[in-house]
Amino acid sequence: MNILAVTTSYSFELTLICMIAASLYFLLERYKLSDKYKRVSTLAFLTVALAIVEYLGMRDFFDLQNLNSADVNFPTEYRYLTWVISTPLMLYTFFVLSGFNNIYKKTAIITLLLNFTMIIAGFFSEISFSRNLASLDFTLIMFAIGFSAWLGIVYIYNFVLPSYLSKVKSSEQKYLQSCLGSLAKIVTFSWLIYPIGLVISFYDPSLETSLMRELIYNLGDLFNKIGFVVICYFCAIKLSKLRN
Amino acid sequence: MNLKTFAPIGFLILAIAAIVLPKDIFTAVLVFLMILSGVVTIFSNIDIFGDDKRDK
Repeated sequence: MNILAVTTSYSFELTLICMIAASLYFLLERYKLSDKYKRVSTLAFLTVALAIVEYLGMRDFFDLQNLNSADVNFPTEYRYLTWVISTPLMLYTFFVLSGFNNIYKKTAIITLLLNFTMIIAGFFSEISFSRNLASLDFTLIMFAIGFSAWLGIVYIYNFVLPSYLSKVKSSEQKYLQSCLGSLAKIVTFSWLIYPIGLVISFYDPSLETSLMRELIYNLGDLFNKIGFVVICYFCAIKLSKLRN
Repeated sequence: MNLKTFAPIGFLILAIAAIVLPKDIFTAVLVFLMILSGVVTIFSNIDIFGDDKRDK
């Protein structure tokens, strides 16, 4: 066991307590939102609350006893189980915030389908490679499908949704534009950590790289999950003040 | 163009560098900078302190 292994192990604890703090925050500060935007707080709470369950499991899985064993096991596949529920909630939060979930239902459904494809294909790519359950071709095909689905989500958040914003009331437009700009950056750049981490593990399956990947994934989850919903939540506060 | 705009790109680049480069004390610096860029990304967008000032 080295300093990297211990740090990675404790990063699960750090992410877990941050998720607990964030979920309590969304519950306690819910009163700041007008009725129209209360659902944003609910979706934000669900996103981080699901992560608590995930991180409780992963923290127990990735304990110091596991780290001391000759063959360290990694809980990366566990992440996909929560992502399949939490990422659509995150993406849908902006649709609820902007009211696009009622006006542009088709875009919302396409976004959720792309997200589902991305996570499921990513799961098969990860599990088939890490547990050697299928050929490398299958792993790469699944990766390509997942990556293409992610590109679709990036396109929707960077080009489709901004075009819809031009039809929104001008008073709300400024806040929604700023919020969407930040969310698009998170989806485009911060989410890219995951496929790149997977590709690196294809070519460098060493213990140190795997440990660092887990550490980076934990920090990625911390900022991507909490950051994404916190930005939506603060935009909802501003929009609630406008309505009052 | 504000420097804060590049925080999410910095987050990604630092993450990749931390995974790929040899693991030593420099990795700790990369991870620290990564956390910093994540914090900047979020706080530059929520304007929490600006809101408080306006309320007063």
